[in-house]
Amino acid sequence: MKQITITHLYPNELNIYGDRGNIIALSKRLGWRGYGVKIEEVHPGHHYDFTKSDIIFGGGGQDKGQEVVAQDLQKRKTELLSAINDGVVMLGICGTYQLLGSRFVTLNGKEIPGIGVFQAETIGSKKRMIGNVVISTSFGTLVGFENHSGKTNLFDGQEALGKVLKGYGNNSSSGFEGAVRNNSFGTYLHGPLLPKNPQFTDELLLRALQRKYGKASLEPLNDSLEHQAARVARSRPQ
Amino acid sequence: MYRIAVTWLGKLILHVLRLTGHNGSALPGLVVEKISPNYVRKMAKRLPGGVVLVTGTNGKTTTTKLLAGILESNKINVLVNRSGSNMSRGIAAAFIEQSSWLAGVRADVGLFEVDEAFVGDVSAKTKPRVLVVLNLLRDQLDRYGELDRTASLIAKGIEHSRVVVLNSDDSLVKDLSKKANKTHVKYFGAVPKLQQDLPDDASLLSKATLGIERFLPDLRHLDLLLSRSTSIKSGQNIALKYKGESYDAYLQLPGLYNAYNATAAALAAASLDIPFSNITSALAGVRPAFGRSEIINSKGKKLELLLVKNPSGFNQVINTFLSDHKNLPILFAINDNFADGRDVSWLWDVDFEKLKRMQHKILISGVRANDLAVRLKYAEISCSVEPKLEEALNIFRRQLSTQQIGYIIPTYTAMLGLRSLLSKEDDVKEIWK
Repeated sequence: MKQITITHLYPNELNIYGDRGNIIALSKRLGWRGYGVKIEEVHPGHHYDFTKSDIIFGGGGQDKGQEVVAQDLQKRKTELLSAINDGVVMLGICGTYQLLGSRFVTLNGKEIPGIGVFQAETIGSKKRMIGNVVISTSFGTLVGFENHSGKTNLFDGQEALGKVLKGYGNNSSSGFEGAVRNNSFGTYLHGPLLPKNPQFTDELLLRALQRKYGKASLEPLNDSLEHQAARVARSRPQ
Repeated sequence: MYRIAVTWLGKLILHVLRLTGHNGSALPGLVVEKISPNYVRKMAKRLPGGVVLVTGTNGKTTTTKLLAGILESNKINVLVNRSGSNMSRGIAAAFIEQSSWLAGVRADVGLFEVDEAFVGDVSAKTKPRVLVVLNLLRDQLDRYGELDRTASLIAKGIEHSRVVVLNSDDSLVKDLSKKANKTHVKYFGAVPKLQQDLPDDASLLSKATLGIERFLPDLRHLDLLLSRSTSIKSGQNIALKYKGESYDAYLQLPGLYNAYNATAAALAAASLDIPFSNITSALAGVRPAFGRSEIINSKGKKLELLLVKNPSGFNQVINTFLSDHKNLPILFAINDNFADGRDVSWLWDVDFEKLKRMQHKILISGVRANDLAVRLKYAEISCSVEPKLEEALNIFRRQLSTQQIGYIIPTYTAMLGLRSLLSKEDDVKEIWK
């Protein structure tokens, strides 16, 4: 049976806001189409072979968890970048998104290094950017909920995930949200992101299946429930 | 003289609100505090037995009710604030409502549940004899940002308290002891076998919940130990170990989380020098608070409301009520107003997969009903959706037989909405608390 391996980064440190719903969405949509799913976890200090990964996912966490993760991530930088450059699908939400940039500077001026997948940096701020968010992307309109005080700035040439229709986005002034580079995606959208945005979930799955098995298209599923939930979410006040 | 005038003003506002159909649980307090910022401080001083504060993510209302039951049955009159009116203005409102028109306070002890973010403020004003901290769980993160920040907000209240009663089984709460300088710290906790069924936030989503890799706790530092909890009918028998003696108690409230609430209340009462056997015998008389497993008779059908506010509470409801029998009729009502938490992501941290084989008859309502429907779809559980609360309640009730209990599981404002709908019916007594 064809199988996809999903690598879940730091599930104990970066597990706030229901982001594991993204893992659930990915695995169920694979299973419903007859694919096998293997979910593997990466924990600080434990060895992991990223050549096995088809999809890598990391969620958001509290500041405390993020510092531990940042240090551990640096040790795996070479392997991770190698997998990502090979086209492994990567989705980083919030804290993970920030660590996929080049660095994170806290309010106190402490500099936490990222692994530089995105040409971007995040600066801690006193402003808490929180609320419902809707963005327009090349994968359709995405709806979610953001909750961050870090302001992410994309450098010249770094593509954003989408344009902000409602919400703060990366830094509350650029009008853009998230970042994309090849098969790597970073965003502040919780919600969680994937369940209510099934077309985006399928985009990630298709890229992974394409890379592994040369698959050209995915069998469609009935997403009317997801679309209805997204419609309601989009209508909620920021 | 001034205090009397201010109390009059508050009482007038309260009565006007009541006449116009509101329940006036905070506005009178808000107005009074604006005019007289020292109101709560001054009124608290008039309580001969001082003040006890109860805070934490889950269990404030129930623990306060249990403690009130213990104190009252030991002939100590309590002044309590309304559930949910748990900021300083809610406490002011309680004084306004329950003091005399001459601003006289009739109670011995003030017993207040306090929202986590306001513990510092309320403690500074009331200088409590005892501050109880039940747990710190992910909840309404869009209100407070992070758990660590919530913990530091609670820590501000510790220095004003004579005694702080901490849940030793919640690592974030236990760590609050580091902030206690002159404050006397007391701990309650459960035996390991019970602990693993009620994970704290650190263990909530890790494999440690299965009991693997859990430290073998040192129970010797506990002032009160919950050593047993066995379900019986719609309640439970618990055993508490205090100062070397074992005491049995019966609770009308089911679920391990309520055994913890009772333990917290018992240690708080013991800290007020009430003899322990008088404490345990009083527990059996306490009925559940509204929305916390109270059974309501409505149009000939039986409804049991179970408030949920966060993943931990929801998982406890699933374990306690929904996992033992199949085919139960359930109405979930999910809102995303400010008091419910505007971010509904937390639904994905709830273990609905446990209900997969239970074949429950599920109806979902509330503003974000569709989000829960998607969540259940991915747990491969079928359900129907009716977002409008009144309609959903009617459909749900119609489908119940007179023998069944219909479980209604709402988030906070959905519970208020249901309370309002149910209060309008003739055969349901006025439900204010």
